[in-house]
Amino acid sequence: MSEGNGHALVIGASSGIGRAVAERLAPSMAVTAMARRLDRLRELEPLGIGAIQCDVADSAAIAPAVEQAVAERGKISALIYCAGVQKIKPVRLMKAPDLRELIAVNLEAPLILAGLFTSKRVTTEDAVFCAISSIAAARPEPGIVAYSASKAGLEAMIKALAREAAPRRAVAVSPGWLDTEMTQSHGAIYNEEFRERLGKTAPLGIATIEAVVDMILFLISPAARFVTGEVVRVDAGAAL
Amino acid sequence: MTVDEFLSELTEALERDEPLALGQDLAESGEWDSLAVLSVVDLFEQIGAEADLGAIGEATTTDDLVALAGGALEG
Repeated sequence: MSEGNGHALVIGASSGIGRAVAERLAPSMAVTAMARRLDRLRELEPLGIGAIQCDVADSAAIAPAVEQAVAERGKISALIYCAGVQKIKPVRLMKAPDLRELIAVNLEAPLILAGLFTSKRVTTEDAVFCAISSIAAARPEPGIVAYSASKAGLEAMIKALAREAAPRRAVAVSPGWLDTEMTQSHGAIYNEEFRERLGKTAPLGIATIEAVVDMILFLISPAARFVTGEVVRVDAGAAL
Repeated sequence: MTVDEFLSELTEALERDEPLALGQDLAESGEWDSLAVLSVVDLFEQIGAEADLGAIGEATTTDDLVALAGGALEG
């Protein structure tokens, strides 16, 4: 942990992209990992990563958790939002509780965090908000209407936040399909046949979590100091 | 869940006007397309049946879906 290099708050850090980002950042800066499952976060503590339990579907829990992170490790210089919920079914079959959970995690929580992000008590003046979107925002498929809408809303939020929060920056990474716990939970749909087809149709095959993390690290670095309001696709060309 | 209850749930999931019965062609009196297949995937998840998109998509009759639902159905 090197607090002189800033403090990264990674939300949704118990698995997938969030966990990988936290692990990659830990040697170079102070990192706080936040997620619903504290037992998963505890596994990161040997790396010097702080762990804070927070279920972002509970909007009232977000601000106290962020305040705790700031109190423990100082103002935030990078807020990386990786939490997400995906439900795959015809929108006709989406029940109100499904929709509420999806919107709460994919859109409402980032909006609450955006509000906190703009506070000088919470973030440094050069702070970056980096959200994980999805190519579904721009290239939706049947069965993910609500998910696509939530990610499109998230991307609009990033652009608007970039205008309001300057000189702080706001960016997003838009991955294509990735092999993560979230997609593995839809094994009936994302089966071997799906992977083989995607691997053949996308120019560069299937993108990896590592490639997405590389892009996040670039976007939050000083090398991207004049990049804001951008959504960068990392999909191996799948959307072409 | 019994086979009859499954067929009733299937009728709802696929929004068929007439109740589905055993031995019925899925493309008969309604669409059997990718959204219909996703509807059945959702139904299978709800009842705890294990079958992937490919297998469900290849089903042509209600009997095929009953067979795929297998152990999640009684009898």
